[in-house]
Formats: sequence, structure tokens, C-alpha cells
Amino acid sequence: MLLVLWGVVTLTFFAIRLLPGDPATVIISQGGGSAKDIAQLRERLGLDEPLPVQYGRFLGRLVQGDLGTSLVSHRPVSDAIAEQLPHTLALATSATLLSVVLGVSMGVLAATHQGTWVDQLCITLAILGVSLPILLSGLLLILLFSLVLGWLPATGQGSWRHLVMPALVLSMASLGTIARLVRTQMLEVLPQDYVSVARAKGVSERAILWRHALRNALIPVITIIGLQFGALLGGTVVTESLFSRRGLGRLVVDAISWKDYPLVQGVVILGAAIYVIVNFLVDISYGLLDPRIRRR
Amino acid sequence: MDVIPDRYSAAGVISLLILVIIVLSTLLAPWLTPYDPLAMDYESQLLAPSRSHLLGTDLFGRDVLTRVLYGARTSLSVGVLAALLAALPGLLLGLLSGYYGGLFDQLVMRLTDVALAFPSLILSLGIVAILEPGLVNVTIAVGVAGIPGYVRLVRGNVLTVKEALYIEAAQAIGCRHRRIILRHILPNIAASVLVLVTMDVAWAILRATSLSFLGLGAQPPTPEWGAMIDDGREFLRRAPWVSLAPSAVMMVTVLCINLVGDALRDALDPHTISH
Repeated sequence: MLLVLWGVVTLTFFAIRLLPGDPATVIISQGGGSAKDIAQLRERLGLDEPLPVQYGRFLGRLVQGDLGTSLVSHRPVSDAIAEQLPHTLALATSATLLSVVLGVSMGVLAATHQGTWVDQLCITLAILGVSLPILLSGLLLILLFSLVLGWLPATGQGSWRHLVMPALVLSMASLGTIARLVRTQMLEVLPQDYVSVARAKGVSERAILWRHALRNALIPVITIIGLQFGALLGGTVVTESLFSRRGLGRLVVDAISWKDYPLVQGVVILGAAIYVIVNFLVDISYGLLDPRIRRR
Repeated sequence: MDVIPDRYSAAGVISLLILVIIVLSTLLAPWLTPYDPLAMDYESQLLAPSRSHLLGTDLFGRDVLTRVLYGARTSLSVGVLAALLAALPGLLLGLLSGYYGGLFDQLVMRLTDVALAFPSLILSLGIVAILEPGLVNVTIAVGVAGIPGYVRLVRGNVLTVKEALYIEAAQAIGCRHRRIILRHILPNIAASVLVLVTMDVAWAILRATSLSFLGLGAQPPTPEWGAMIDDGREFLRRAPWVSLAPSAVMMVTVLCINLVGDALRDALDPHTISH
């Protein structure tokens, strides 16, 4: 995991510096400065040093949690990120929770009612969730719940009522994926012998479902949750913009328009780091869920 | 090919038909609509859908249907270009990496691992940031972000095909590596690559639309779906058609491309025919 993280950081660092377009030149020429200003800014940003030196210094600071200073606000990038991170985390975690809880329940419901209208309904909803782009589902929800019914605020943030629609919209794609996967997994597990044995022992139907069947169906589901989390992180950017919410998404889009390279770099590295760490946790959780993997 | 399950081919054929209609109407847009996608008309701002403006007008009095039709040109070409931009380098790297193996393979795979560690939209955002916002750069960013997926798929397929007896036979009779790759391996992996390219076009359209929605792609007044959705967001109560029309057409397009991709996969892959 650390190796991949190092790769992420290194790739980001060199991509920003090696590609055409020197940040200092871009920034100054927008403000109409002279060549001397450019040289001065380069010196201040440490861009005049040889690349390996810059790289070493960059890594050293990064380890201490220093992501550099924003070119626009002149504040530490880590401060700007720390300010916006809670908003994005609230959105991303509630969307993840929503997609896992609803997705797993829908999948189990569909599997236990295989072939009935319940199953059909769950499958249809799941496919709808996967194929509706955030841009359309978000607009439709805003129209329905804010403008027609007036139940929920369309934009902004503050209370949980502001969070409902963005979280739901963001969760839809992974919700559908998880529901479909849980359904197929459960259909595979339910006819197994140990389920029949449990039933013969007199274990309650509910305990059979949740403790015996679901637990065995869950490993591939956990993998998908980890992978879906990447799409979800990207989705927060669009969702935040659509619902005019503060957060990392807004921060990075603004930073791109202002050519605030350190800030963009910080958010991109953070996004990748969160994704890598989540998938690392997913790997660890296999052992917790399945004693057979732990023993290996 | 008469063993293709009917259910799949039916959905695929219908989707293909809808796609053909969309492509034709975007190509024939100048003859289909009397309006100019860019000409502003302050007499007819935010008009509701009517006989003269089937999907209403936007803030500048421009006909929404006209802009959606012209916007399809932008979005479809960005989607196709980005998919090719991802497929060609990905195919090349995957072929070389899978066939030759060794140090080059190691290097390519580690790079792919790192690239896949970025959530793909965030990777695209980063590339747009480096290249500066704009439609061309969005195409490049979406394309580049797709490369690692192809490398993985192609390499995996090459590794499987490489073990086949006919490859060994080709090597035994002294075929050159180039000939083996082009004549023996490539045709065998072409089907799965083609399916991925198809699906990728849909994915790229979604991505590019999202980036334009964020203001990083097509700049006004270019008719483009993402930018149109963003334009209409402020008047969602007064004039929902400004945002809804392009997003609905986008969804239909993407869905149809995906269904065609599904049908292609079922038609091309001998394993799925059996069920």
C-alpha cells in the first residue's frame, strides 16, 4: 500500500512539473508581470532548483503533512483541505452507508423473493440506479422534492435535510451495483447444504439469512464496495457542484480555474490516498469476515 | 451467429436504431431545425415547450432542442475520440507488455497500478488542471484516464492467448514476433477490446459531460450537454426543460451505447451464447 501511495505522490509531482507550461509563467502572465517577476516567483516556489532537490524537499514536507502553500489565498494547502474535508466526508460516508444498507437489503429481499414482483421491483430499481447519471437523477430529485413538493432544500448545507438528496443521488450507482451483486451471491449461497442443515437444526429463518447465508455471500460485495468508493469520491465533485455544497469538490474545481497548482496537487493526492487506504481496509476486512482467509 | 439469444439482440438492435437516429439527427441538424444554436433572441427567453420551440428556449432565447442536437455533435465526438485515445495506447502497451513480459512488463504494470489508484474522475481533473480547461483538453484527460483499463484487459487476454498451441506452432515455424502479435494474437483479443471501446464511449460521454458541467470543458456559447445542464440549473423552477432536455438525451444515448455493448459482447463471446 505504501508503495502505491509513493507512486501516486511521485506521479503527481512529476506530471505537474514535467508537462509544458511553467506554473510561475502562467500565473504571472495572467497578471501581466515581467520576466523578473516570473524569476522571483519561481524562486519563492522553489521552482528554480533542480528537480531531484525539489522532489526530495516535497517528499520531506509531505511526510510532515505539509502540502505547500496555495498560490491564490497564500494559506497552507492542508488548512484549506482540512476546512473542506468534513463536508465531503459527511457526504461520502452517508452515501456509502446508504448504498451498503439499502443495496444489501434490496439484494437479500430480491433473492429471498426470487421470481416474484418484489424481485422484479428490486432488479428494476437497481438497474435504474446504475444507469441514471448523477446529473439527471439529481435534477429530477431537486425538481420533485424541492420545487414541487417543497420537502427538502435544493441547495446549501447545514442540517441533515440538506444531506438527504445529495447522499441519495451519490449512492444510487453503487447501490444498484451492490444490490445486483448481493442478489446473485445470495442465490448461489441459499441452496447450499449448510443452509439446509441450519434450517433442519431449527435455526430461525432470520438467523439463517443474516448469519449463515449473507456472511458467506459478502466477500465479493466488500470488494465491490471498495472499488465503488473510487467512483463515489469522483461523484462527490459533481454532486457538490449540482447541490451548491461546500467541500473538496468545489475547492478543486475552483483551484483548477485559478491555476492554483499546489492546491490541486494536494486534493488529487488526498483523493487517491483515501481511495488506496479504503481498499487496503477492504483487504483487511476479508480476514475479519472469513476465518478461512485469516488462517492462511 | 444465429444462436445469439433473442432477448439480448432485441435490446441491442433497438438501442442501435435509437443511436442511429441520434447520430443522423445531429448530422442533419441544420436542416431539421430552423434555429441557430448560437443566435440569441431576447424576445423569447425561457419560453415553455410549444409548437414553435418543441423543448422550449433557454435564458438567451435559444431553442433548446436545436442546442441539444448540436450538442450531440460535441458530446458524441468527444466520447468517440476519448475512447480511441484510451484504446490505441492501451492496446499497444498491453500487447507489448503481455507478449514480451520481463522488465518492460513490470514497469508498465506498476505504472498501471499507480494510475488505477486514482479515482478516475479525480485523475481526469488532475490532467485538466495541468493542461488548462477546455474541450480538447477534457477529451485528452478523459482518454488518458482510460488507458490503464485497456492495458490491464489487453495484457490479461494476451497472456491467455499466448499459451495457445497455435502460437507455439507459429513460433516453431519461425514467424517473426511482429507477425505473431499482429496476425495471431490481435485477432483473438479484438472482440473484447471492441466491446470495451463501445462501453468506453458511453463512459467518456458521461465523464466529459460532467467535466463540462463543472465548467472545465466546453466554454459558452458552445452547445454542449454538460454546459447546458449547468446553464439551466439556476432556472430549474421556472424553466426545468433547459437542464432536463440535455440530461435526458445524454442518459438515453449512454444507455443505448451500453446496451449495444452488452449485445456485442454476447454476440462475440462464444461462452455467453450457451446459456
